[in-house]
Amino acid sequence: MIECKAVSMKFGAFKAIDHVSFRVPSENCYGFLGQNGAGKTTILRMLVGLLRPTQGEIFIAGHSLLTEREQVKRLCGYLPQRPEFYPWLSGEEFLRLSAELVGVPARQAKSAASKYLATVGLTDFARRRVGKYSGGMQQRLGLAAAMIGDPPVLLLDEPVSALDPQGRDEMFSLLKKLKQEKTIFLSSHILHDIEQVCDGVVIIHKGQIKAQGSLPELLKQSGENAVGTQVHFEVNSRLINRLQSEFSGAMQSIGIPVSNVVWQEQGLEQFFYKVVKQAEEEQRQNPSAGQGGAADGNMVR
Amino acid sequence: MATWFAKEVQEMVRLGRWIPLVAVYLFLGILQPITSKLMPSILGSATNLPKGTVIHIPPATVDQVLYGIIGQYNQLGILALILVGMGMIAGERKLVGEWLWSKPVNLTHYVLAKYSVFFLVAALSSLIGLGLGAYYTTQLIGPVDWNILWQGAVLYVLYQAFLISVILLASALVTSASLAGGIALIIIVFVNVLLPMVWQGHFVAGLLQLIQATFSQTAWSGSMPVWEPIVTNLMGTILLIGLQIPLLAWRKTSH
Repeated sequence: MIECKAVSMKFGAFKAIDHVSFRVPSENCYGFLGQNGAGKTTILRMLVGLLRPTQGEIFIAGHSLLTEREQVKRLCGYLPQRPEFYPWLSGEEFLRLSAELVGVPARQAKSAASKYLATVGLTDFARRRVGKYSGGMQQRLGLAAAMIGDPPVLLLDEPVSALDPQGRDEMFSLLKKLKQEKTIFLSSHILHDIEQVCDGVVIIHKGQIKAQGSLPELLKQSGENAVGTQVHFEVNSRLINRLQSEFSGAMQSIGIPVSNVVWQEQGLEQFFYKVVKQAEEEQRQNPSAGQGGAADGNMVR
Repeated sequence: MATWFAKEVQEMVRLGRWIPLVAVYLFLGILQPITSKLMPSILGSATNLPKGTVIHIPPATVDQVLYGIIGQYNQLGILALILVGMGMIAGERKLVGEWLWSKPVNLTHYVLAKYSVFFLVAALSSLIGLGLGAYYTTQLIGPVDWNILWQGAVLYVLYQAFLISVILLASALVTSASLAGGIALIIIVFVNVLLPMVWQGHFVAGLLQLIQATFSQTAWSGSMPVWEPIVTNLMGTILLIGLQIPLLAWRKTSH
């Protein structure tokens, strides 16, 4: 279980994280959402002990990061946002080093390395130097390095950002399996992926938590079953004919051309934008609140 | 410790960091007796002096040549050490710091492994260079007392141990390798040149005097006991190695 209690982080006079509290239950996969600069990476780095919060407490599996930092590091596997490893080591050598660092005995480190290379689909590249890995391969290797030693908590900062669609599918299939026995907290810009794999989300906006909880609960609380967002998808002509035959009458009666009509259940994307919109509205009304973060980007589906 | 030691050896070999050390120390070791032997003829042929001018250059003695090697080590050798060592911690922190410090790294093992591999390669290079220098000195100048050479070499290696602790401390201080190199150079110039002005014959300056006295087989002329520069250098080395551990512990949470 991951628990943040009233955590704040200041860089000089700038308050990047402002009294953040959230909880990720054990053996759950939670997504960490926020626009660029909202504070996701800062919080993930605090969770793994790379940054010391200026205020508040963090607990990982019941251990306080303030007093048991090294113990906590043994419990967490961390994948940085831009994974960079020793370019002069082979993938297998790097994983052996990672294994030994988290306490795997040297004689078992080689088999552990082979196992996790296979898990992330890098067996064929085991002897290739890491410096010659592509960005996606480095990300897979980083995930293997995070998993090695079998830590109960995985903290993944944008784990699929460098992967191709097939790699993303494989990664999320793996995460679906892993969440049965591990607590996973991952940040991503890909809302669709988060929706597929995560049991819950924590949404951060300009250094403040704006929503958290399990996905079904949050979407239910949001109170709308459907929204009028327009989306585009490809269908074959047979389906278009069927759609037109069944709905054209109703649509035409309210003046909407049939070819433009789409509908969908409310998803995470709509919920996320609603939360961000509310937060911005709140900030407009009370400009002194929520000075953290430096959001400037867009979430993409 | 074995994990880090093996990793450091691999890094030293695969990045070719040993090459400049071996090349510089061997080159300086061999060059000194050759230039000492050939200096009179080099000067004679290179200068455009009037006919009849007589230049009397006394032939170099064995101890002058051997201490000359140490003098070269103390200039180009230090630059080679800085070049090799300045990125050993700074570069690693910059490249893989986020992954590395998220692991439960034993900083004592980490620092000791880096130090010992760097020291072993540097000490071996300088010893081989001195050995080759002594061989050519025997061939070109005169016989070398190998017992004296051995004593002088051990003292130089002790000095080198201190230099390496300075370089690695500077490398632990910042994440820019070139800045680390600059800081190391400033500290070394300070202890080699400025400190002896106010603290003559002690610490590093005392050790260099002791090396000179050893090679020239003269009695120790310092006002303090002969063990003083040895002990202060050792203590300085241990202190600087030890300082790296809390420094890195502090730096890794503010990475």
